[in-house]
Amino acid sequence: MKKIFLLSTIVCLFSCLTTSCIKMMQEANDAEEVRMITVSYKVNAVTGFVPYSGEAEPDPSFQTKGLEVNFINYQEGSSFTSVVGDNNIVTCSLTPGVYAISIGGSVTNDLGTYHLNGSSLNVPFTKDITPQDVASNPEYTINIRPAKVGSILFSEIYYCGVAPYYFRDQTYTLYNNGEEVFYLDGLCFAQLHPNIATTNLPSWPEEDGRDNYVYGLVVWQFPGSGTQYPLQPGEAVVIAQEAINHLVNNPDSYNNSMSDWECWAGNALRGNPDCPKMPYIFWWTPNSLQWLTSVFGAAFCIFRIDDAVVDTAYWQQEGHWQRVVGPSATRYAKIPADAVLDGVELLTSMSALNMKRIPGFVDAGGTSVETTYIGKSVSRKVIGQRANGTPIYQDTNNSTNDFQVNDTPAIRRDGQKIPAWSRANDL
Amino acid sequence: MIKWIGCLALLISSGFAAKAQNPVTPASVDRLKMESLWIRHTNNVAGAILENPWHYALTDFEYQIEKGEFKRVQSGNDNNSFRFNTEGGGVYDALGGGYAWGEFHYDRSVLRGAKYNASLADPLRGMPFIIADPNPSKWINQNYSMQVKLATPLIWNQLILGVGATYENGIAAKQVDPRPKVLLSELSVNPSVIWTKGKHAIGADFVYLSHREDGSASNTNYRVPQMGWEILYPGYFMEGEISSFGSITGLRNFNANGLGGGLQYGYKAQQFRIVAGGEFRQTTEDVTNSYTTPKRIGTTNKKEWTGMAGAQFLFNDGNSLFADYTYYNRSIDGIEYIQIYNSEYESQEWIVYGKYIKSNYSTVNHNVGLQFMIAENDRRDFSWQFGVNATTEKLSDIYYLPESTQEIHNVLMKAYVKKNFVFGKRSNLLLTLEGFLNKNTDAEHKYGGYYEGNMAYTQFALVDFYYLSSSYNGFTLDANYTVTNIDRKNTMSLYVAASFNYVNPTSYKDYFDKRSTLVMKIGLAF
Repeated sequence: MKKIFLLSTIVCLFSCLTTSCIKMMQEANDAEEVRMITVSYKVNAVTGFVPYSGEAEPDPSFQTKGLEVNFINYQEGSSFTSVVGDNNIVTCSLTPGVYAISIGGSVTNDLGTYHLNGSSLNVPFTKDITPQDVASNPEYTINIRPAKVGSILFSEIYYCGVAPYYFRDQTYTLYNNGEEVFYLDGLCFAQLHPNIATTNLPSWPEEDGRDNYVYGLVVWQFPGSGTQYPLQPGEAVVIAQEAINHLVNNPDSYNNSMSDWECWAGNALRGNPDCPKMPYIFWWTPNSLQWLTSVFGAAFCIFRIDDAVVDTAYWQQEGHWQRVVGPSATRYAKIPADAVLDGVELLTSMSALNMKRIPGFVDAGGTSVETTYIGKSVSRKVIGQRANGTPIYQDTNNSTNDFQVNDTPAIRRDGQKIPAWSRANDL
Repeated sequence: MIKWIGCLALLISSGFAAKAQNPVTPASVDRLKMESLWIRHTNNVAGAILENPWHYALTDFEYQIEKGEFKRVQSGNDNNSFRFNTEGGGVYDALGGGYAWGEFHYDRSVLRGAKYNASLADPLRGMPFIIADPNPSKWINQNYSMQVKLATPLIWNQLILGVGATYENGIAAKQVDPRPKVLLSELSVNPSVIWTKGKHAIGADFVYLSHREDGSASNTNYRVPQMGWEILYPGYFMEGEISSFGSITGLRNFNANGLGGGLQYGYKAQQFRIVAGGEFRQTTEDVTNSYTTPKRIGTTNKKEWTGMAGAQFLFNDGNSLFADYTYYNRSIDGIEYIQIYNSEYESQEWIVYGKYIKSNYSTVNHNVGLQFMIAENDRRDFSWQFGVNATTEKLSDIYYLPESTQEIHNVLMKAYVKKNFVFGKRSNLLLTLEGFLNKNTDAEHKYGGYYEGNMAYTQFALVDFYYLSSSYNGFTLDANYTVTNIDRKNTMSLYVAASFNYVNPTSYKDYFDKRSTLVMKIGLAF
């Protein structure tokens, strides 16, 4: 009896092993040899609220025909380019894979000149998609948001720190790239969630729709009465985590003590008492030691909500903040898409572009110094110069194309001017 | 577990063998293995009964020094190994005429200067989905392996049942960031059966294999970021920083299962014996990068076909002529997945949307050998052996889109002579001299990928192609001195051996220098 039981056990165990083994092999045998596929996609420009389903009426003021569309497979390093044709449909022949679809261009209409940039990440292409499929299935549609070509933009960000583990010298430069004066007063500067690029993107409630908002971890706000801090064309303003001569602490760092504002978190032992403190108006769980953004690369935007008084009280109101789906109680500032003036996605490395965390209308691409603590910065590429020698920067709303990596950070690079009110004039 | 396995192997290999009536020497074991056609050419364990092998045991310690750059870049160029080997068995009266054989090996190797591997204990085992890094690294590898073969005596005078099993357990630790500690285990079970009638025998065997291997490349010095590549195929990869926050997470979890089987036929006459057969094995291996939310990095689907025939012509004076032929065909499909991470709170997982065969690695070998052995009828060993061997090898690799191909044809020819000098009744010296010549007859490499200037292509994929398509020549000189009857029962032998191998590349000399290997051994035979 014992022998029969033992034999039965052995036979059962062996059967289980071979059954799972055969299933694994059968799955492998089912795989087909890869071939090129042809896919079509619809590109719509939308201006209103886009529901979670993504089904939104295109705005007829903005035609997407003629826009260039890049299908980028970051895993393989491949890229295929096509142009939006009739009925706002783009068709491209590519290898099956997971793609980021990036659309770029600009359009001028009665309302002004607008960026028509957008991207859709992690789109799986496994089979042919015909224009007929596109017409019958809203799943094959990308909504892009027109963004007015603005004058204020990030011109340089130094975020990676320098060895060994020195990160207090993080610095951000905003620049007036336009032809008119821009008033910094009340402008908001946000660090977006998540702090580090990741494939594990947060899931937001369906009520927020799709790509209607970006979500801030921390929001700083420029002080001023409305016209107190003008930024003339060609002028730059510098904001630092800590505005001191960092060479004293680390000979491989640099001196940013002439920064215009410090993003001071409240640590009495840190900071430059002579440098004005920029107040934060949203920070759910403040870190009073310092405002440290990821040395791997965070994401930032500047925004201004025109029809509201944006202050600390604003972010406490229901509807102005959001939580990710799940048990976390952490609140994030809900920043409307149409309020964003510029944004930059900083990545761990350029190969992490598939981990982009902010929508394409904020930044259709991403930029990176590739590694941490190497003392490098990213800054915009110069494409021209004004008569007064100040630079004109590239601004296609795609930081992959617009930014370059510098071996060292600089304060007001490329001949940027100092605003008349800046404390840097006295230093 | 390992101790238990070691004890079992030692028991099988030495316990019974001690009853052998005549002294055992490495030369006599060499002859025994040469004449055991079923054991030498097939995986059918039951076939051992048809050979009726006498029992023996060998136990030795071995130290190996290997230097030189004529190696694949992942193998290291300044390596040392210490090994303990024991094997033995045979047909035993105590088992009613059954067959028992076992072996146990312990191997501790130190590899230096190994590059482009941060995932596998053995990066050359046909698994392309690894993490590679450019740092010349030291690896310390430790491996235990054992094998057991058991066969019944002849049942009803016509049936033999057999079973073989192998178990391997290893650890491999890279000593330079990014540094994985790779743990592996492999188990295989190989039941078999033979039906014999008169001079004929028909056999069948079945094999199940399970291989598990995992390790996580991590950094001890966070101040220095480590760049690397997630390799899909030589020259096709994703480049990034290897760290928990980087674009390449260092963990790789390999899980392989294999099934296969074979059919054999044997014929045995007075002066002629032949064994022929064919085998097929399919091994599928999944690679993932996480234990909790696994992303399918890739799958390899390996199919191996083997056909072989081995014959022995026995002459009246005790001399033998051996002829053998082996055909081997291996095809590995590299399957990649189209998948997206679902970050919804309730169901965070990678969702597979599609899978495609994106690459294939093919190997086809033909091997022909002839050996002539001169032996004296009253001795178990031999006095001379002469042999020639020729192998043609065709390697064909392809990445389908965008297309890259690699085709390599090699012909490897070997000739050897062995002389067993017998000094009186208590000692002998076995000398072996082998010369070999590999001629590359055709080699073509076309790259259609996106990273022609990247060092993971120029220094890894391309250099590997140069190595595989190299012509070379060399020799091996082996000397084994044995003193027999060192114990009171006159059953035990002590042997010391040294072997020197020298390989000299005759092409791509800008990339490769010579390679030499010295092995020293001391052991007991009984």
